[in-house]
Order: sequence, then C-alpha cells, then structure tokens
Amino acid sequence: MVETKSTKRYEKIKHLGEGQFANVYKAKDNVTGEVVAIKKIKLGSRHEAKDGINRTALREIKLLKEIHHENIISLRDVIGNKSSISLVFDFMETDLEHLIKDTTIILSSPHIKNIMMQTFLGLNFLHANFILHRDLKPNNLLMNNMGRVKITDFGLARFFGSPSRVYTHQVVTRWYRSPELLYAAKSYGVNVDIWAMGCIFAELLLRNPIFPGESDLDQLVKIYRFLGTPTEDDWALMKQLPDYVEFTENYPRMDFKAVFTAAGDSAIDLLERMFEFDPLKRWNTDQCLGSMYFQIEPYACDDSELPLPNKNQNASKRRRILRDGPESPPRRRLVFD
Amino acid sequence: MAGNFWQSSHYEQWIFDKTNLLRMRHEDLKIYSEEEYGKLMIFFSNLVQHIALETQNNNGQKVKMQVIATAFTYFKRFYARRSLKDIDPFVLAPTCIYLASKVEEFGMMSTTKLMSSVANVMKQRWCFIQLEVSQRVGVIHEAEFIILEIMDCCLIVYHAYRPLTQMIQDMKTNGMKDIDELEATSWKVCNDTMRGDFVMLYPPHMIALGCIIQAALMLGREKEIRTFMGDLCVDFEKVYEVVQDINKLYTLWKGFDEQNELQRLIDKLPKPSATPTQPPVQQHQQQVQQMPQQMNNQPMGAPQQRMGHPMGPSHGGPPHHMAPQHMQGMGGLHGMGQMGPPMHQGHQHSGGFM
Repeated sequence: MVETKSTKRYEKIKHLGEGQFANVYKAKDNVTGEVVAIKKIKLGSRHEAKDGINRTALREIKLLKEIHHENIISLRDVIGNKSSISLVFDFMETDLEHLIKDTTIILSSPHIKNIMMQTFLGLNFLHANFILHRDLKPNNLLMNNMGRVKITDFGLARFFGSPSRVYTHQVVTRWYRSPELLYAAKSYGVNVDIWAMGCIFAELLLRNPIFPGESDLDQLVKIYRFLGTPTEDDWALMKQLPDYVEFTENYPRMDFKAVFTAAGDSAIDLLERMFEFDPLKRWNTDQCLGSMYFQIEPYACDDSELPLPNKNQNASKRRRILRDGPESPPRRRLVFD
Repeated sequence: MAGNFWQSSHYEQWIFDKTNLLRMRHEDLKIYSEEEYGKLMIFFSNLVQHIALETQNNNGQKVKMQVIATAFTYFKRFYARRSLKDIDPFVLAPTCIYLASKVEEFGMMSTTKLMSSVANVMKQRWCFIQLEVSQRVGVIHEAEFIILEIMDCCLIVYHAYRPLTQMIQDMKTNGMKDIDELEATSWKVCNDTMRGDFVMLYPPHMIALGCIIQAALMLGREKEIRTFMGDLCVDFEKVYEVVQDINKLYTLWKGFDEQNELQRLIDKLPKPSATPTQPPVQQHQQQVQQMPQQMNNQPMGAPQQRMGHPMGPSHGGPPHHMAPQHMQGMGGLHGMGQMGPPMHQGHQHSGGFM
C-alpha cells in the first residue's frame, strides 16, 4: 500500500547503492522490526516529472504485486507522495556479483548448482506467467544470509505473447545480451533470458564475465571468438534480422572442456544448450531444469551452505541458528516423473 | 493480460459479492438510490470512453479498448473503497485513463490533453450539462498517487475479452457455422458489461460466457450453442446470474434519460464538506489537494478478501496459464459497442476459458 500517512514507519540505516533509476537504502521497519531495502526512484528531469509515476517503478509494482515465489523478490510496501515513490523490498545481504568477485570465496560445484537451480526456479515461474525479465545479470540476483537467491529488478520486465507487438532490443546489460538482441530483433521471447542465464552460469564457473564486450559490435566478436562464428546451419533466420552484419572472420569454436576445466559433462552440455545461437533451438527453463546437470551428483548443496562474501562472515553464525526455520526447505535435487 | 487469474490480485482482492459491494458504497448510497448510482456509472463509463478516444497517445495512436476497460475498472475500484466526495470523478476519470495507458504499455498520454479532452467531450456530447471542469494540469499527477494507494497497487486487470476470444475460437474449431454474427454481438455485449459491476463480481471467463449466451439469446441462436455449453465444466448458476445482470444493465441503460436525469445526478455529487460554498473550479482543485490530508486521518481498511476457496477446474475452468494473447486489433474503436472482433492468433491452449 502506498504510505502517504507515515513516513516514519521506515528508518533509514544506510545508503546501499545507486542505480540508473534509483537509490537503494537499508532501513528498519519500525512496525515489524525487520530490516528492509528501500528503493527510492529518482526524480527524473523536469520532462520526466511530467510523466507522473515513473514507468519503471510502475512496471515493478504491477508485476511484483502479482507474482509470489520464493526465488523472486517480494514487494512489501510502496511509499509515495506526489513527487517521489519508493518501493520496499525484503533486505538481501548480497548479490551474485559480489559473490563472484570475492576471490576469498570458493564456489564449488554444489554451490553453483544450487544457485543455478534457485535462479531457474524463479525464472521458470516468471516465464510460466508470461513475464520476460529482460535484464538478468549477477547484480540482479540477490542472496540473503539464508542462502536464498531471489531475482530482482523488474524495471525492464514485461508480459510477452502479443504476436504483433514490437519490443525494443535495447534491453539487457550488454554483456548478457543475446545475439538476436545485438542484431536488433524486434520480437523475441524467453530465449533472451536463457542466454543471460548462460552467461551467468559461465561467470559462476569462470569467476569472470564470459563476454565482456566494449561495444555492441565488440560484444558479437567476443561471443563469436568463443562459440565460433555462426553459420546459416546454426541459425537459419540470422540474416533477416534488422542489424545483421556479416562477419568475414570465421572464428573457430573453443573447446568448452578446456575452458571450463572444473565443470562436468552435464554442466557443459547444459551450457551449450543455453548458448544456442538460434533462439528457437535454445533451451527453455523447463528443459534446463530437466537437464542431466540437475539430476546427477554432485547434487546442489543446501541453501544454508552457500558462502557469503567476507564482510558478511558474522552473518553465517546467525544463519546456523535460523537454519531449521521454515524459510529454507532443503532442495538438493530435482526429481521428475 | 497474461498470467494466472486464480493467483492474481484481481481475484484475491477485487472480487466481491454483491452485498459487500453495496456495503462498501454505503456512503454514496445515502445520496443516490442503487438505480441512480448505476446510471451515474453508465454516464461515467461513457465519459471515460469518450475522453480516451478524444486523446491520442504521443505516437498519435487511438486508445485501445483494453486500456479503456482497465481505466474504468480503476474508476470503479476507487469508488468501491472511497466515496465520490473524496476525488471529483471528473478528475479521476482522466487520471484512470492516464494510469491505465501506462500500465497497459500503451504509450504516454499528455495530462494537458487529457484535461482538455474532459472539457471538450462534455461540451460536444453532454452540452446540456452545466459543469465547470478543472483544467489544472497537476491535478492528475496528484490523483494518480491516490488511486494507486486506494487500489493497494493492484494494477493488472483481467478482462473478459481474452476468454471470449478463446471460446469463440473453440466454437469454430468444434465446427459451429456462421459464427461471425454471434462473435460480433458477443463482443458488443462484452463492451457493454464495462458499464456494470461485472468486473468486480465475476471471474472473466464467466462474464465471457454470459456475453455469449446473451448474444445468442438476442440473435435467437441459443439452441446452437447448447452443445458447446454442455461440454463446459462451469458453475452455470453463476453464469445465468451474469446473464440476468446483463439484462438488468440493459433495462437500466434503456431507462436512463440523460437529458432529463443527468444534470440532477451530477448536481447531487457530494462535495468535500470543508468547502461547500466554493465555486466549482476551485472545489475541484481543493478536493484533490486535500486528499493526502484526508488519508492521514482515515487509515485504509485492510484489503477485503473474498471468502471461500479458489475454484478448482471443476468450477471455473483450468486455473493454469492462458494462451498468450493481448487484445490486438482493438484500436480504431468508433463509438461504444461497435468494435469488431479481434484477430485470432497464437492460440496454444484452446481448451481454457481464460
């Protein structure tokens, strides 16, 4: 509910970060005593202020009000007055970007499998509800001290399934953008989120972004240097995309096993399916969740066994106590009929 | 709108039974009889539709029926929770269109244009009405926040258009002939249901079924749809209640003599008690400016939860995902109820009713 009545319900603790559209604060909810995260949508230019409630915020509100899943951030409250709007979320200790960058942390196969599984479960729920996230990246996958991973930032998300609607291709942070988006496809689907998931999977394994392109063109070069330049056999409709550019250089495909030395065959197989050039061949979330990767040992670890970045070490003590709480049902592997 | 109706905020928070709805409107029903209230809502639904059609978005597109239906749902949701005196309905109407066009990803509408559309539409369509309409632009921005609050941020509305499209498609697949006339009439009826309380009383597939039955009755073709209806697992008592309500709405509408009745209804609109002697223009402004203040003193009640359990498949159609389809081909609407059927595309799940 929009809180016009009490601005005092939430007490700011500290500023956590600044994004393109918002500032995020850690705050205390004086009613429940819980720690929450408050995303205060920035006041735009005078031009934007004319647009009333910020559209990005409105998208988040309308979608998060409808979707409730343990791997998707929940919107607890909306605070607003005539000039600004703030969204109140669960407080999450860290995000995958911090986790990946913290070199003191070892991410084992069970850790990575757990993270991938949680994220896929959240994403599967979104896709089943006809919602595209369109901005998946490590930074948008939050983790709390219980090891629960939640997808956040729905400012670019939208419903899909309207056949003739034209979408913008300027979505998804460049490094996680799929080839069809880089070629400016005007209609696309769940496959753009899967590509981004592939990049995140690779980044968890490599501990570095797999395709850190410096421009849109360089992004394609980085991708092709790794996966090989696609042929028409790989991707039949590629040449029909608006911004298609022919690559004269024929990059060979790298040997995944040599790059991802720690990954097993099932992990590599899944990764290759997520990195199909042709969006129609790329796996969807059901296929990914049903892949061998999630069915064989080593199984995913318990949520509570996931490591936290260093500064949160003392949080892990708390976690042990909370471990038996109802929040964290052990989910070591997926069983399908 | 895609998604799962049975888990939506629409189903969880915004479906009421009739007694409840009356109770929520009790304050306004001290001033208006139920019949008068119904007539007033018919007028405002027409107003919303005409303002929307008068105002294009920044790409010069005409507003789609889906946006209009969402806008008027917001309008009714607001006055289900609050009294007509809390926000001037002539301000809330353009605000709802403004918000709905953003939520439905329709593009930006100018608040200035919307405000002037209100005045234009009143002049053109209801020239016999004496009314000063506020032209202050900021007023929409203020009202936008208030409606978001009163609606508890529930923005996604499930309309009957999608299940209607699917059912008609199913009938075609089942080999029913000459369906175009039935389809067009069902759509017209469906557009008309916007004027009643249907969206706050029944799930969308029931409204859609009611519209098809009503259309068949109007065309004398009820026998032809019997087989189709027979195959459905749905609470038909409830569906016939929808049909009855549609008939009640038509009777009310037919008996509504705007020329003679509307001015009196508008004159009776309750004003905020603090400023009873102000001229109308200022009243409009002050009314909205006062809103946040009023909110301070009157904390909202907890969202009303509908009693009972979500209906399982045996009652209300499969509660899983719907085929992705938005209301395409709905632009270029001319006049109420004149809309053609939508394009049929992308049916993946023709068995469902949502």
